[in-house]
Amino acid sequence: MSQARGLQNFISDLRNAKSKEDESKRVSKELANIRSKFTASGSLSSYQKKKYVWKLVYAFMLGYDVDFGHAEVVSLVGSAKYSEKQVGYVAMSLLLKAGDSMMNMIVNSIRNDLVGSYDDAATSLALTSIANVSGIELMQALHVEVQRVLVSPNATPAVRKKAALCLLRLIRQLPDSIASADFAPHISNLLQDRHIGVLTSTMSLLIGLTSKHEQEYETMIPYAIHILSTLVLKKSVSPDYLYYRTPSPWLQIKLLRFLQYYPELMASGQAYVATLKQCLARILNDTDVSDSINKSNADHAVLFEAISTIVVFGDSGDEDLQLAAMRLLGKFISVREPNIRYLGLMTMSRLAVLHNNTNKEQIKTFQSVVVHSLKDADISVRRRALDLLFVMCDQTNAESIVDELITYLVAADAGIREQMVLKIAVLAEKFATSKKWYVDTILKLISISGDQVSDSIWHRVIVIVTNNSDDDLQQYVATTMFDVCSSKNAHVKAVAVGSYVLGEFGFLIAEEAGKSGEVQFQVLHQHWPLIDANTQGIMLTAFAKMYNLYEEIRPIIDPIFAKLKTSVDVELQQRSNEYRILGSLGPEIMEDILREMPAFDTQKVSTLEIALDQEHSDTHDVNVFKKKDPNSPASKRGSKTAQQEPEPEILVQAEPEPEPDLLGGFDDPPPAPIGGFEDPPLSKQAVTVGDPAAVASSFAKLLSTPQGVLFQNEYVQVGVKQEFRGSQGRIQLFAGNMGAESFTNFKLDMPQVPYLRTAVQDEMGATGAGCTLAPKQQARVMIMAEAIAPYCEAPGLTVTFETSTTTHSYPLKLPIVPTSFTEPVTVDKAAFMGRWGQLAAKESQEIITVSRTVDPAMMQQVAALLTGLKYGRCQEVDSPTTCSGCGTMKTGAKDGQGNPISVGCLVRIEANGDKFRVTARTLHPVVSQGVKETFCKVLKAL
Amino acid sequence: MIKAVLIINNHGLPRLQKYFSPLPPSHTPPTLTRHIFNSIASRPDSFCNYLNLHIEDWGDVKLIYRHYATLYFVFAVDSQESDLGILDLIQVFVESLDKCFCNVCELDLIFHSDKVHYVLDEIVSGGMVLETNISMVLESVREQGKLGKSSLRMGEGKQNDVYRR
Repeated sequence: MSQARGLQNFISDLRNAKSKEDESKRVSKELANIRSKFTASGSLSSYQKKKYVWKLVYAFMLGYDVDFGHAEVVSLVGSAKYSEKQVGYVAMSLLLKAGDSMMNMIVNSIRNDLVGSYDDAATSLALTSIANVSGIELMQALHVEVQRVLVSPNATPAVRKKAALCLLRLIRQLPDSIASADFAPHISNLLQDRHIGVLTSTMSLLIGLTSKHEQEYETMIPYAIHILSTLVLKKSVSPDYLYYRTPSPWLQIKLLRFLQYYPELMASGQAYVATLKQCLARILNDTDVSDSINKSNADHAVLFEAISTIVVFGDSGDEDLQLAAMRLLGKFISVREPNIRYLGLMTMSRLAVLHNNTNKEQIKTFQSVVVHSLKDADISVRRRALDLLFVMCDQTNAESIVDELITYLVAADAGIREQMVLKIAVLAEKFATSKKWYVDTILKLISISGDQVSDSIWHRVIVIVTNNSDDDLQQYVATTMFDVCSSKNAHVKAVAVGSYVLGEFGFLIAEEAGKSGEVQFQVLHQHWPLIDANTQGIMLTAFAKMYNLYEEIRPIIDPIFAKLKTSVDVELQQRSNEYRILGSLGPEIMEDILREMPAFDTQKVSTLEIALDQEHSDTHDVNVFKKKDPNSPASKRGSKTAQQEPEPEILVQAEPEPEPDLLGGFDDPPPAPIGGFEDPPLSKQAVTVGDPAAVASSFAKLLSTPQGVLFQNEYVQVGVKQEFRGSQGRIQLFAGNMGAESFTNFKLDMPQVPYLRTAVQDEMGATGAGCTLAPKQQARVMIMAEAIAPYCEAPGLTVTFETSTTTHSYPLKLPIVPTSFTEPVTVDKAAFMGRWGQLAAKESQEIITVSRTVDPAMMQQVAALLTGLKYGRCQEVDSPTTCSGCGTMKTGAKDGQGNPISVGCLVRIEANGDKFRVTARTLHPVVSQGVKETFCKVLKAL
Repeated sequence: MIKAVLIINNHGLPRLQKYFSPLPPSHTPPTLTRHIFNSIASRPDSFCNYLNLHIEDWGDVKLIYRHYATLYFVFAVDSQESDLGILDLIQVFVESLDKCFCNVCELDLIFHSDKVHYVLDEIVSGGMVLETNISMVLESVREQGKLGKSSLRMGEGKQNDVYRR
């Protein structure tokens, strides 16, 4: 009896604890007690086991770490007694995680309950726990059994509905585990069940299957419509399934959801179309506002789903229904009841993104109503209103919507500001009626909410202004920025834009009264003490440019540079030193270096596009601003060419490249092989592989380093030196004879691959007919490669040669992978997460095990690898055990407008124990795979 | 799918937390539950019952919740669930508990947290709605209770004691 009270006493004690410390002390004591009971030699009674495990569950729920007792949970699950089993299963789903070592021990118990068990109760417990835990181990081990239970003719409804959901969880986890496409006959059987619970679960499963195999399940449409009509038109359902007088709203919702996978359904001309139309009309017309909140919820749940269905059918559906749906939505977005208004706004946004002009025009008439919700007290409602305004915006109403948004931005709270700023910036750019309006809008954003204006937004302004040298935009912006910066209170971001613009285009207004170079300098310099080091850097460059242009202010600027020579900020120190020396290099060099920047390569702005690109994940939005050819001269002064001018920072010439060394191998050659002479065979024996692990490891090493050994054994050494820029790369191969005997027929065979355009320089003919290679002689081959399509497989290289006794052939891979052609991109957290979500469908993922437990030092290596593979780290999204990055793979292929195509790539590496999960999401599934493989390879080699 | 079902009292103490979608190593159930509670607790009851939340490494979730006297019932769902349907489901859960305990109160959930789990397991499985018929839910839970007693020989008396109200 006292033991019986144990659990209750424990809970009571915790409830009575006076402080958190008290509680924590009590829990520690209890956990220590339980631990000692578990480790004690004597066996515990079933009752004790249950009680202790439940105490663990309770402590865990309160937030205490429970890292023991797994074995007891496992033994409870395996018990023959139902009461123990039940506790065991619940505890398992709470305390054990997929991947725990105990998982494998539990599999057999679960399998016994699943198929070997005589009673449904145990089968039910097993099914529920598999669905809830959803560990890969369980799924892989048990998917066959789960399928068998589901289709078994003897299964009771209670078991069947659980099996259906269990299978759904399974196909989500392991999409290939069942022949999803062939499952249709079973589903049609299940859909003829009369049990509403079974039908609801089956519909969930069907939706899961249909989302991947639409065509295979098209035959289920008549069943779904039949069930729907029974519920909606006949309202025939057992009273138990009436929820506040509505026949199972959940089943109705699932049925409608399923039908949404077939948007052309209404135009199919099938007999069931009329029935469906009747159902939808009934739902639309018969739904009334009810005084009972629960009744109203249930009815509106079905109603909103019906409206969504009509929205999906769009113009192929029934026009009357469409009108009625729109009328209802118009009503909903103006009601006071917050849930309905929220859902109305959300559904309308869904409607607005469909390419349907009638809808869009109608939606636009609600602009003022929506704006009203933008001022609601509830942030959830405000966000929906913002979303809707965003999608209902087009050329015709952009100015008024952007104005509304800006007006509201002044009063908006922090929760929504960032999102608003980004959206306004996107709209202003996308639907700009004039570029001046666009620039003004962004400047307004900066002045109202400068802190939320991300760097990518104002960088975009710079790009657009720089690339539009034809009209008077640059002059206009210079004047505007001059005015903005004249105010002492200008926001630091405005000062940054002002510094850049006046440095670049200030000369366009320098002739105007009161805007001379000196005044421009003063206008900027007054902000100096108040701005951060980054902005100071930008300003410093502007000063250097002014220094070059206006002789009269050189005496003022010189001391600034001189003073910063000792700045604590390394960047400022370096810049000021470099700029200071410029003057002494002679006017021509200085002018050359400080000429205005060339037009931006529009490919390089992809960081912003990631943020801007909110709607379409596959294609980059076409900008309203015509992108200029990046190679055309942008110079207004027009005198000199504008080819690849050095950025001002790069003053120190890169050191001349050292001669490619011989990779060290030749100074100290390994002892000559003796094996070949010991036992001369009659015919030449063939050697084909080196040590595969060593080959893989050298290959992996070369993926993130510019030079190294690709392969070596006692005969031959193949070294690689590589250099990539954008979509192009230069790869030098050095193949040396390390032995004491000449090679004949020495060949480096590189099969053509469709995704690389290559040109080869090869003086000895090793890549052609073959050559002879004397001992210590080296064959050099230079390959110029350009990526012309997304790909994942590294191209092959086979090294073959003959010695007097042996034919050698070594199939290798060249370390030319998608990441080779990648350039790092730095994005902020919002952009990364946004993009990450969009690319979910194109994911490639793998879990690898490494030799030791991952520790912080190893994570640092991972971070270094990310940089080595030319990805920009996005540290903001990372926890200590993850590492994420962003890059863009350049290709030489051109799109319709002649712009080079590039593939945005995101990668995330998560550590757990001695495992890494590598996830790559890119615009192209093949690249996702390639990137993932590359990362897996280098991680394994860590 | 339903990624998590939580019951939290007005002070933020969890009374039930069940995560259907595995949590990344950066979160534990208690910390995430706390975070979710903080996000909704500041919202007056006059606001709508929805709140979108981005949870690092776990993705975007929509919190759909109802506030009953001293308890918040929170379902964290992905974008595939019907918003009002989940509100209805919360009501089914609450009514089931209410019938199960005859006028449920917070103390019932504290001292009989196992039973709360058994009820939930009959309504939601693997993050999907399993059964919405309250009588059937109660029937299943009752059946299991009987089974537990009948197959439990040695601890029968004690069992009753633990679960007495």
